[in-house]
Amino acid sequence: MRTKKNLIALCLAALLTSALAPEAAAQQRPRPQQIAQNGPRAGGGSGGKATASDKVQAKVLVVHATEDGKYIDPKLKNLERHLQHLKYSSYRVMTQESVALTKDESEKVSVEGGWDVNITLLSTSGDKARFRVRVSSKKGNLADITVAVARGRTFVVSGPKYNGGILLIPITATF
Amino acid sequence: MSYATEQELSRIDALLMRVLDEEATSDERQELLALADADTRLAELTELRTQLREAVFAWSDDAVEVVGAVMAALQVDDGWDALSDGLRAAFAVEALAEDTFDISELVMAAVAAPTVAAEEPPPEAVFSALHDGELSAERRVEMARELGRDRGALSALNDYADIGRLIREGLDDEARHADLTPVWRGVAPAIGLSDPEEIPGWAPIADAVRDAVAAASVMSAAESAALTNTVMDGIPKPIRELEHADELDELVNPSDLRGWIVRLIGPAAILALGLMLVIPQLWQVPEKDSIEPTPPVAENVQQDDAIEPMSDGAFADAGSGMKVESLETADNVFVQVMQFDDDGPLFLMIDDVDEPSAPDDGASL
Repeated sequence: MRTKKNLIALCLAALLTSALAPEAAAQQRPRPQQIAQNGPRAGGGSGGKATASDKVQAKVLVVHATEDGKYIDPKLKNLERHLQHLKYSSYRVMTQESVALTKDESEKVSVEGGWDVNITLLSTSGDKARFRVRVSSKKGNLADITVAVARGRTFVVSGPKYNGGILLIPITATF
Repeated sequence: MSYATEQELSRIDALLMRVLDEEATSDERQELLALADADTRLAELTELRTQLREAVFAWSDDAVEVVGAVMAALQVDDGWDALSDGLRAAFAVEALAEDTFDISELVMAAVAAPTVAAEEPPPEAVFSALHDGELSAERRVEMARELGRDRGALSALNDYADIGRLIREGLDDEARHADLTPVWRGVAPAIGLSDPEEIPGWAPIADAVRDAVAAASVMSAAESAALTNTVMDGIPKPIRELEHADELDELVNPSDLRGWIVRLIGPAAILALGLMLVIPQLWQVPEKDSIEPTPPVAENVQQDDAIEPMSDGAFADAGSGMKVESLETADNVFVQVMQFDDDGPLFLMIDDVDEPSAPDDGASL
């Protein structure tokens, strides 16, 4: 008889807890609106001022790739082996710039062909950095990509047609 | 009368051949003439003897004919002796009867083939005849004695049996199995049968069967049970009977089972229910947000630019340290994500279909 009473009490407690649990869980999870207003959380999660260690150097090149002749710009030496997989034979660096980004900080790179590449550092965690890359043209946004990159690695945004070829935008993260 | 013997004739023949070949010596020529003169048949042919002498000692183109005439005079067997004898006898009969006659029968009687001893058929033919049942009883008994000592013959008989079996199987396979039932339905009226299914003489049998079935239908319950038991006893029992049915009853006692269910499963179910109510994460399907350490960037996208998501995690390669976490594109924009080498860069090839065409075909490889 005593056991039955304990069992009934346990069930009542469980029912009350379950009624309150979803609300608590909802309070713990950030809502989409909050993310949009506050931005995503950084991997380090400091929340304070950016330090030197939070800065990520992004080296941005704009390369004109064509099938005319055979040429590899010396600045692309580390990419030469991988560029051979593309159909182009000539790669010339048109511009080069290095941007320092802190968390949630954006930098826009305008390239020939009317395209803008907006790079945002979302977070850093260990040897990886997460970037948000938004590509837009005169008619509006074309693509919104979130990519995680290891330290020293390169990702290449390509696509704008330009002067008989296309433009490649290699972005290398150093931090 | 003195006729040359077979040996002398053979010798004469051989010497004549040597004369024809101009290989005969002087002694051989003398020997030939001596043998020819010794035969009465040739001795009477004076002219032929003269020709032979000339041919032997003075060869000429006519020698061949002379040799042939000599051999004919000596009646060297050329296979026509029987025929000639028949002819001679026929002429003798004609001389006696002086009437027309048919000599064919006399000739044929004279030239009738000599009796040839019956040849023993080859063993294979004898075995085949034995297998086919074509031998007499005496011969079969004799063969049976011989077969016991002849393994080869036994093997041959086995081969014949196998061949016969294969032939029968082949014929059965190739034979067309025709259903002749409709034929009988057409034939029966034609031969005067009103009912094709009627079997003459079957009616009394059918009546007896009918009476037996009727008698069985009025059996008492005891008689029916006895009949059933008799039939069931005659059926073999493939399943071994349980020797200790009472033990099985103890194991599957329904009341005991219900008790165990209440004692074991009941508390466990109540405990599980309580845990599920207290910790909803245990039974709720985990949402994507709870898996990712950080919320997806897709939620942070301004939706007023008509960008539609394509697929989260369109490209992810943990081994290369490069990962596309989210990818959204506008209409008519396609993005190819490629990485050719593990240590190579990640290519995000953006292709705007609406972009004015250029000599180059865009971002495609």
